[in-house]
Amino acid sequence: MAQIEFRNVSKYFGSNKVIENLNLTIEDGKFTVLVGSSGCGKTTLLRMIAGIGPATSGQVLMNGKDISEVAPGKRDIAMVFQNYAIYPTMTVRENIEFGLKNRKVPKEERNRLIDEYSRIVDMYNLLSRKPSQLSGGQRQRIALARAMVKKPAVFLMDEPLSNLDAKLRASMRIELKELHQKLKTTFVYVTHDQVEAMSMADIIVLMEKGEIQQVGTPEEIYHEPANVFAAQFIGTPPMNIIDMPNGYKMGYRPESVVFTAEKPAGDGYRKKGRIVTREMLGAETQYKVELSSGQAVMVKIADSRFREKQDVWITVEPEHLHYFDLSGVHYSHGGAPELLAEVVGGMNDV
Amino acid sequence: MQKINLTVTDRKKELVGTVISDILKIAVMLAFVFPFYWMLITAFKTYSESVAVPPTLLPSQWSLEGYVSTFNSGLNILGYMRNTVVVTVSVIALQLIVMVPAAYAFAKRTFPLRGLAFSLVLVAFMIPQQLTYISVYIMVSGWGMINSLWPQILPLGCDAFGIFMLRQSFKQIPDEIVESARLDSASEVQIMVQIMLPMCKSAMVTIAMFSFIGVWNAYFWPLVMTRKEEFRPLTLAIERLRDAEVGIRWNTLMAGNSLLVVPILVVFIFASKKIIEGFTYRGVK
Repeated sequence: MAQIEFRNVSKYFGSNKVIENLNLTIEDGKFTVLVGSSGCGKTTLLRMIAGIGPATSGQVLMNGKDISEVAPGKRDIAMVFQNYAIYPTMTVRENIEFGLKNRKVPKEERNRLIDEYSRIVDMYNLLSRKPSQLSGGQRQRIALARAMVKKPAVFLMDEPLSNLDAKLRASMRIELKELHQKLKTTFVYVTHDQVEAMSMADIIVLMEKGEIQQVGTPEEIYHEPANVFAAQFIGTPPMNIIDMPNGYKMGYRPESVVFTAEKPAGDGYRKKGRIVTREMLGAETQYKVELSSGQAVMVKIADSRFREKQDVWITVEPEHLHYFDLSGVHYSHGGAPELLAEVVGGMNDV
Repeated sequence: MQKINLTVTDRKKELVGTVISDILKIAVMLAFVFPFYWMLITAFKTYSESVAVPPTLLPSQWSLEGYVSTFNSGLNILGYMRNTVVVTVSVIALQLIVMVPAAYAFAKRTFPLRGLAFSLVLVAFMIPQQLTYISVYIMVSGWGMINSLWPQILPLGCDAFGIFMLRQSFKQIPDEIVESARLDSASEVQIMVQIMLPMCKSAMVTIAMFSFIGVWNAYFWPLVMTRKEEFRPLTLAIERLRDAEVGIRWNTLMAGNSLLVVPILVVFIFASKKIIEGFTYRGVK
């Protein structure tokens, strides 16, 4: 169990600034996901916690104690790498045992732990195999067992699922989630995949260009994005962002659009458009619609009856509309604020 | 129909190509193997047969005369052999002790002036050994080591080529494996010996093999670095087998040569697979 705190940390690679003056607290026992596009600094933060890529300046605290000078092996953490980083010349057993041996765990205890954890990851029958004889998923499990067997206070995972195929990835997501519920330790998980972040996280830390854009639960980030970046990063497809004549931006999720063939009654944001493409995904259908204003928006609804090149009306209820100010920061949500009401009204098609 | 005919001609062409390339391979192989074969059968011929014209491809009478006269030549062949073995084993051991940490540091650690230090290694790699004879001789004789095996061991204790090659091999190991070992509380020595070395076994074997051949066959270096027979290696003894007054006794000379060469062949046969692997990295994907 451990809480982790970054205090004014900066990281430079030569003269290249990756992170500057970042502050963040990772809560004890939570599954925290650092998510962002590649190069945003999320792995850099993870490596700071591990001690294998120390901060250029600032402090990293674990349970209130500065661990900046503590060697990686003494930090009570375990890490799972994207390429698994298992030792190819050792058997599965030796891979799991290596860390325990170095920590001078007695032989009997070691055997008991290897037995227990190899069963948890379902690798008990393969203990004498070499990694080269195993599949990607199995290697991933060794990496997990090797991390778990140390009973660390913090689990660090750097895109652990990105080398697996889609099906295995989905099942490992659930397994990791279950593992977290069972162990109740702090998990810090790095990914560039917003679906992974949304599906696994208790807390999402959304990063871009070395800066934190938003910290919140998946619900918060989805329903109340802090800025245009957050609105467009989370969600598949991302939120539609429409430029308003006064420089503000309006946004709505593809899922909150209502589609009609005829002009809808009532108020709310409504536009005429024509369907450009249609993707039937099973339970939902995704349409790309070109609006009368020339801008294309995405729409995702259950109704699959609409066809390409069909003229349609889209309506978005006021409570689903988001507004962003000139600098892209979330301004208001729901009915248009006084300042914008007239502008929004003028954008509707009649 | 036409399509099938085409395939048959293609196959014929392919077959002819294979046959020609196989013949060439065999020819090249014979060119390399024949001198060794000639050395070995000459060693087992009698003196008169070894100088007979036309020469025989197999001894008409197998004889140990060559070996007997090698050991009866008045030279302490076993003493020379002992020197060769001691020098070779010591050089390889010393080289590994020096090279592994150096290569590890160059490949996986950052420290001030690393680039400069590594370029010095490369410079050492490029300087011909012949240029260093005199200065090394003066240095070791200053240390009072000329009457010992040390001048044949110490100056060769660090091999720039070995450091270079091992570094390349270490560099191919993903950093995450080293970091993972650090998180597993492994010391730097453990990382080197238990993680990196087993992954670079082939490169190690290759480097050791090159050193082995170089030192085992060394002629000029020990000739310059020794003054007394008792510290000289087998290569110098073989040279002295030619000093017979009655002209060169080919069977004796070849018997001596075979004593020199056979150990290398044996080592190579055992290590050849690793040596070939040494040039291709096989990691876990």
